[in-house]
Amino acid sequence: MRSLSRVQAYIGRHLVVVAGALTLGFMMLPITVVIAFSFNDPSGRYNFTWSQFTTDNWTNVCGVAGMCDGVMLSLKIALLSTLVATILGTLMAFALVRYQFKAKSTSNVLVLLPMTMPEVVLGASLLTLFVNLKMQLGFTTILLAHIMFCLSFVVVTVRARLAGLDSRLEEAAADLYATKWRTFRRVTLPLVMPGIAAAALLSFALSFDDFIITNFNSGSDVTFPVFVWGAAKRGVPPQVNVIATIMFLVAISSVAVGQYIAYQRRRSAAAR
Amino acid sequence: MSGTLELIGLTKRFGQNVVVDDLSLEIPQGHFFALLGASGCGKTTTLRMLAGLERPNSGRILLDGDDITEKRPFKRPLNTVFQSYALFPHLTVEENVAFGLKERRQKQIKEKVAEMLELVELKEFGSRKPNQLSGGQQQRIALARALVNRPQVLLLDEPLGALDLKLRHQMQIELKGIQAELDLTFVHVTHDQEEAMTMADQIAVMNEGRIVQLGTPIELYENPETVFVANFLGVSNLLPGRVVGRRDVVVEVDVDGQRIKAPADRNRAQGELAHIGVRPEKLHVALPDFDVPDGHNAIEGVIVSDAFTGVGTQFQIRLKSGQEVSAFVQNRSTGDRQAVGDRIQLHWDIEHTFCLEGREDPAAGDEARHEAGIPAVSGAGA
Repeated sequence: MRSLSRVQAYIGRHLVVVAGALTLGFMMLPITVVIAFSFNDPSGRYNFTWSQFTTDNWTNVCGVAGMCDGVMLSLKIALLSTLVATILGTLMAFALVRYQFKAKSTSNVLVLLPMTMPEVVLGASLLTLFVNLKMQLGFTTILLAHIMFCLSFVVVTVRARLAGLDSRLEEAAADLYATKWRTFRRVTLPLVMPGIAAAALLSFALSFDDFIITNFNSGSDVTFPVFVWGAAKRGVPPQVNVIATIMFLVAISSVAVGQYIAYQRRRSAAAR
Repeated sequence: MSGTLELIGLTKRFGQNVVVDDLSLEIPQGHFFALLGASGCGKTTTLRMLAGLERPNSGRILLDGDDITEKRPFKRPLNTVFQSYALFPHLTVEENVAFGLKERRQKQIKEKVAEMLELVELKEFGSRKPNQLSGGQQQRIALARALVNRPQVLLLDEPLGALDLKLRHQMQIELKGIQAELDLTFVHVTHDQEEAMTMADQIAVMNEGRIVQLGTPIELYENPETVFVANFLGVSNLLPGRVVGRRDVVVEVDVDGQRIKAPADRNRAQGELAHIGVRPEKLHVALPDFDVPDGHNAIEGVIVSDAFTGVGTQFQIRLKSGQEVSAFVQNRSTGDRQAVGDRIQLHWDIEHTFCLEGREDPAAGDEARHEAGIPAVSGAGA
C-alpha cells in the first residue's frame, strides 16, 4: 500500500514532465526515422526496411538523376517568392493598419481568402487561369503561384505585429527631430522586424514544401516535392532522406543560433 | 534664452466636435505654465498642436514671434514628455536619450547624454533597456530624453499620471527644481488641480475647449470668477441669493433673509441672481451669542457632523435654509470644542467672500474634480 501511494505521488509530481516528454517524442519520432533511414542501404527498391548502415547516401547526394536539380529549383523559387511576398506583404500590412481607405475592411477579409481556400481547388483554378492566359507552365507560373499564397501569411503576420505597435513611439521620434523616413528606419522598422522575419521564414517554408499547387502549375519543371512524389511510385531513393535531414539541421541550427544570440544579449545587459 | 509662446485664435475640430475653441494665450519665457482641466477639455489637443502632432483648423502659434503653425514636428525647437513616456523599447536608455541629438547631428553626444543622466540621477542605468526600469525611472528618462535637446519650450503631457502618490509629490518638487535651474518655459498639461497649484506659476483652467480663467494659483483659488473654477480648484461653499444692493466697494446679497456682503471687485453676478462663495478654511465657528466683529458676514446654523483630522476639524453645518456648508477650523485651542447638534454662528471676513453669477449651475466643476480623484472634503485644510 505504502509503496503504491509513493508511486502515485511520484507520478503526480512528474506528470507534466512525463506528458511533455511523451508528446515531444511523438512529434520527433518521424524526424528520427527520416534521419536514421538516410544512413540505410536498402536491399530492394524501397527504403522502407532497415538493412544495413552506410554513408554512401551522404557522400553521393546528387547521385540520383534529377533530384539535386529539383532541390536547386525549389530553393530558387522559395528564395524569390519569399523576397517578393515579404516586401509586398509588408507594404500591404502597413497600408491595412496605418491608412484609412474605402475598401479597407473588404481588403482585410480578401487577404485571408487564399489561406482558407483548399489548396487543391486553388491549384486547379490557377491552372485554368494560366491555360486561358496561354502562359507557358514552368518557372514563372510556379513562382507566381507561390508568391500568391505566401502573401496572405506575410500580411497576417506583419499586420499583427504592426497593430501592436504604439503609435506614440513614432510621434516621440518626430518630436525628437526625426523625419518620416528616419522615424521609419530607427523606430518603426526595428520594432516590426521580428514580425517581418517570422513572415519571411514562414514563406520560405511554405514555398519550399509546397506540392499540391506546384504539381498543377509546374508543367515539365520538377521541384523537390514534385520529384519526391514522382519517385515514390518507383521507390524513394535514400538521398531524399539526406536532403530532408539537411533541411532539418539548417532549421534547427538557425533557431539555436538565434536563441544563443538572444541569450548573450540578455546576459550582457544584465551584467552591465 | 528665448521661448515665448503665443497662441492666437487656435481652433481644432474632430468632425463635428469642437475640441479647442478659439483659444488665445500668451506663455512668457521661463514660466511654468499649467493647462488644467478634466479629460476631454481640449488641454492635450492644445499641447499636441504646440508639438506639431495635430494641425489646427484655424489660428496661429508663434514662438518668439515666428509663426510655427505649419512647421512639421521635427522642425520645432520644442520637445515633449509624453504621457506614459513613449520610450523606445528596442533602444537602451543611453540611445533613447541620445536620439534627438543624433537626429540633429550634434557633437559630443556621449558627454551630453552622460551629463543629462546625471541630472536625473540615473547615470548607472545607461545600458539598460526601458522595460528594466521602474515607472519613476522611466519618467526621468523621458524627461532627460526631452531636456537633452535644450528645447526652447518643454511640453509635458500628464507626466506624473502613472506614478503613485508619494513618487508624484517627489517628482513635482524635482520637476519644479529642474525648471528653475534651466530657466526653461514649461507647458504642463494635467487634470490634477493640486499638482497644477504646487508647480505652476500660472494656470489656465480649461473647460469645453476654452480657457475659463487664467491666473496664478493664488488668484485662482482666492478669486474664482466662475462656479466651475470655484468648485474645480479646492472646495467652495456656494450660497444662492439675490443681489439687493450695489455700492462702490461692496455688493449686498440676500441669502435666506440674511444680508451678506462681498467686495464689489469680486462680484461676477450680472443680474439679480448670485452665488455667495467662501472657502471652508475662511469660516469661523462661534457661539450664537458671539459678538461678530465689524467687517464680517455672519449666518446661523447647526453642526451636523465633525471630523477631527489632527491639524483641525472638518465641520458640516446645516443652515436655516437646509443647505449644508463645510467649515475647516484649525486646531489652535485646547479648550471646549463645538460638537454635533450645537447651534452656532458662522462668521467670516467680507474680504474673503466672492460673489458669482447666479445663473450658473452650482455643481459645475464638481464632476471634473471628482474625475481627478480628489474627494469633496479634502484640500480645504493643510
